[in-house]
Amino acid sequence: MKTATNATLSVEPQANVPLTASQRRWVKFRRQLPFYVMAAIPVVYFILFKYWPMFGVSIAFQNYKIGAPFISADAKWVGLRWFKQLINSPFFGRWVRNTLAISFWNIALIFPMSILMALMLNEIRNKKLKGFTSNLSLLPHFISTVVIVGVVVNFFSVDDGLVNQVIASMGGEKIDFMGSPEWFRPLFIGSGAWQNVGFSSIVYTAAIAGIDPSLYEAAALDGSTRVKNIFKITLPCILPTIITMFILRVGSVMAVGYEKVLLMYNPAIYETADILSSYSYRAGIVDGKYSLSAAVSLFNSVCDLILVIGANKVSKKISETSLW
Amino acid sequence: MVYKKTFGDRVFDVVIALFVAFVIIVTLYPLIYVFSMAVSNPIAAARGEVILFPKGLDFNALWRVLNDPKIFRYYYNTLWYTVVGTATGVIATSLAAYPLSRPEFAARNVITKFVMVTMFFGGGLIPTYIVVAKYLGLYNNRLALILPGLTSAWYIMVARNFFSSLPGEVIESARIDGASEYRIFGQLVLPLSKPVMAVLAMYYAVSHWNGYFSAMLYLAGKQDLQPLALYVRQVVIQNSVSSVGGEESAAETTTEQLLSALQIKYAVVVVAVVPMLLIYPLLSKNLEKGLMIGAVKA
Repeated sequence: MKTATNATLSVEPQANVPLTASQRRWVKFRRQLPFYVMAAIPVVYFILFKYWPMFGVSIAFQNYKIGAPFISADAKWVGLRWFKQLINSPFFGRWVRNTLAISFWNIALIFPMSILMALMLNEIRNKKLKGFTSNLSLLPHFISTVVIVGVVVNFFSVDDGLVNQVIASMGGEKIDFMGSPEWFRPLFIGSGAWQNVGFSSIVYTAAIAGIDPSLYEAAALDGSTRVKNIFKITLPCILPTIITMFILRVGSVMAVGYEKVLLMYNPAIYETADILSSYSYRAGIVDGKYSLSAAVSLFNSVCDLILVIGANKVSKKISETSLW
Repeated sequence: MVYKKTFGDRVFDVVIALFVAFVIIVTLYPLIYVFSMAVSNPIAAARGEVILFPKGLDFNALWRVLNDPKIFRYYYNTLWYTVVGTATGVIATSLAAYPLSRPEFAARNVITKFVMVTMFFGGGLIPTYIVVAKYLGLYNNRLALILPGLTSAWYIMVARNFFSSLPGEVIESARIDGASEYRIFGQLVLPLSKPVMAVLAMYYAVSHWNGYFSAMLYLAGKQDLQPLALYVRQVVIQNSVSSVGGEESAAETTTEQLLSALQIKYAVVVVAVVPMLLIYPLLSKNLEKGLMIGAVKA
């Protein structure tokens, strides 16, 4: 393909007018000009909205005043002052603990559940029922987080929520779910499972669809059962996908969906609900402490980077599957 | 293939049946309950008599939400962001992806790297906020919900992979016939790429329809421009039901308000979710095929 395209796009030396190297480059550029024009809008987008903010990371090391450029001659550089302030905060342990705990439970529950979902969906014999069930399992992903949190808040409300009505009708004592620290994680993870298990199972469904059917035929001749097939054929075949997804997941351990945390938490349950990124949001957007907030997010991303590199190394050692 | 049905197989069939029942109930029950609460008799709803289906139909709560003049403003805004965001997103993404898919493009590798870097590094919340709100002056501007999320490296790579899989000879022969690169892109490549365009459109549309966070950041001071999601947050999560409805609601007695407050919240959820549920059967048709494009290539 490459030679074919070179024939028309690169410059052929013309017999009577030999081109100099710079002229040649110019003609080539002219021919490829449409490509540059097409790529121009996206490139400008990435410069403005992705690369420009990257320079803004420098405010984590300054005493930044809003309105000043990110990097300027009269910026007040303060070194690691904001990082020290973060680490010395009495709440630092709580933020890290909550970030890790929410992430841990998220991985420990939702990750295996989505694999299980794909395996079970694959075992449904009736084609129509299979299609219906898998479509239905994807549906909650398309309902917005705001609505889902809204429904959770109302279902678990202490006065007139569905759950407390059921508890009361069975003679139990009403529980203030949204105001008790110990209930935040189960509700957060539970609603996350409802929203995402079906959707995250798609990758595995795709991997299962790619398994060579002759493997199952051979197993059937050997008198294997369906349960055995799952463990002997399906799981081993999708193992590389599982590992890749796992590394990616571990790499975003610190990136707990804080947009959802912001919707669900309240000061009464900060003890279990407040995480590094929700604190970064409050410090920056609510309190206007831009430098401190930038330092908190930078700390968060560095932890993330370390985790994904670590997970990749471990996986390379034990399974020979890795991201790079 | 033929299996002998052993006892184990039968047990397994039962397990699968239970699983299917579980998925269906768990997914549908909350949705049906929310709908039933919104349209039930207020007293039955407050007493907790609604278990699954509506008890005594009463559309007052739904009616009051729909009579709130603000709701159309919010709806209009969400629709605007979804349509404009999806159109610009698909255009920008394919404009970026097509040159990157052509092996003869000299700057291809440089720009690909330039784009991919943003998948791994970012400025984070505050620097992005400062750039968008202060430096570019998009605070309280509709464009703040369109431009910062115009496209993404991830989707560009998905589209690029699709474009590279198109047969190069077709493009080559169009070129020999004298078609300009723009014409090749617009009249040949794009029509051949409907599946991936559909997937991109779906991703952008869903994220714009559901998004609340950027609106909270950039449109906090301008209610006129806010999307439906912020209204849902205000009424359903922050519990300010009194803001729903026009003047006549002020005349209602406190008991009536208390009775319907619960239902109004459910009614707002219904109003916010129904459009998505209505187009979901349409979505899900393309969904599986489309998601595979994204998933397998990723």
